[in-house]
Amino acid sequence: MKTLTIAIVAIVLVLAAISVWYLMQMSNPTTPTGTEQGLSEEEENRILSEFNNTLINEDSGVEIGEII
Amino acid sequence: MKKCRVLAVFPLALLILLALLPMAFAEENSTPADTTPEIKDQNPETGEPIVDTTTETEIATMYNGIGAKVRLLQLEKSILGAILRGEKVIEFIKENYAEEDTNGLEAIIAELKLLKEEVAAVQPKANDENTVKQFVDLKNDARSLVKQFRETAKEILKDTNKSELAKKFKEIDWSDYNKLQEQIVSLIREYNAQRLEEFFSKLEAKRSELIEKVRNGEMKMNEVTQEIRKMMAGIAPLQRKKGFLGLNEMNARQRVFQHASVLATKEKFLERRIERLNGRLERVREKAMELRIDANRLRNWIQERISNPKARPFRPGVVRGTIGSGMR
Repeated sequence: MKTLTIAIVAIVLVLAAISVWYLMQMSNPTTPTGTEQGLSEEEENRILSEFNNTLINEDSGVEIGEII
Repeated sequence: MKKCRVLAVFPLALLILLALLPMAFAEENSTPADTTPEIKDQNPETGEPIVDTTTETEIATMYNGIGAKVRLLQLEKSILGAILRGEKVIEFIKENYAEEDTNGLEAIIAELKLLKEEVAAVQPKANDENTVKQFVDLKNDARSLVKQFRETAKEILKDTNKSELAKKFKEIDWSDYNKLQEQIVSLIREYNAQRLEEFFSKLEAKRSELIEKVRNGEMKMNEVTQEIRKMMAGIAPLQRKKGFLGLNEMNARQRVFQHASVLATKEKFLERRIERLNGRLERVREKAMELRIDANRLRNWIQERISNPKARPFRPGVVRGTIGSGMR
């Protein structure tokens, strides 16, 4: 009887620990999984191109259409 | 035995509860925004999107105070260009089509002048949805007025050779327009230099020489992009990753601002339009003399636009079907 209780409590504790870890992962999805590795070339290009799009070209203007 | 059963049920219940918790969290994150107010996507005057993809790009730069100033000045410059050309079109019609009534076109140009003043009066602030709302509203007004002018003038000028009109445009005095352009270019250089400063600070790299070149206009943006690529290739992987993640965060902040601002501008767009036109109507009396236009003529035109978003300037003798009312 005592052994059964201890076993159940141990299982519950392990499951609780797993759930807490899972919840922490869920609430912090941006945590990098491979901190030692760099980003892929594709990802770097995407970030760089997004940054470039936020720069303003000197020849640009706000289009309101042609008057004639 | 009973005790044993209770002991077995308790952990099971706890287990189910713990298993359901993450689902509850996920549910909370993905709950659709049921409370979102009704949002209009189209400008009723032009039938075009209130915020098209180009405007969305323009909005992104308004996260920065200088970027916001640049966009407003660019809008002011475009309106000024339309006024200068529009005035020449009216002169051309008066010289070559004396029987045509240009009152409607003159009213549109007068309203464009009021609009230009409104754009110039906006005090741009960084990361400010209100500044974006004003920019988008005034840009939509400008697009509507230019479209109304173009469609009315085209009916009159349908048999005109475009080169004749081009000759008339050569008479335009562009000095004010060019002054605005100079101001814009200098602000764009400052804006780009500031963005690069932020970028290099994320990489913990100093590139003051390159930034100064951008600030002084000695380096074009495509050359800067090449420089950045070269520089990134020579950086240690960890520092490089840190820099890119920082840059990604910077981009994300701007993206969030852009998205929220686009939604905010679409919300209550029509109500703001009416408020704005009523405000313009009140300014007509004091401005009519300066604009060299009959106050009643301009008031009637704006009032017509308030009651009918598809209003077109009235031209005697032209039957327009359902949009035939316009200015009287």
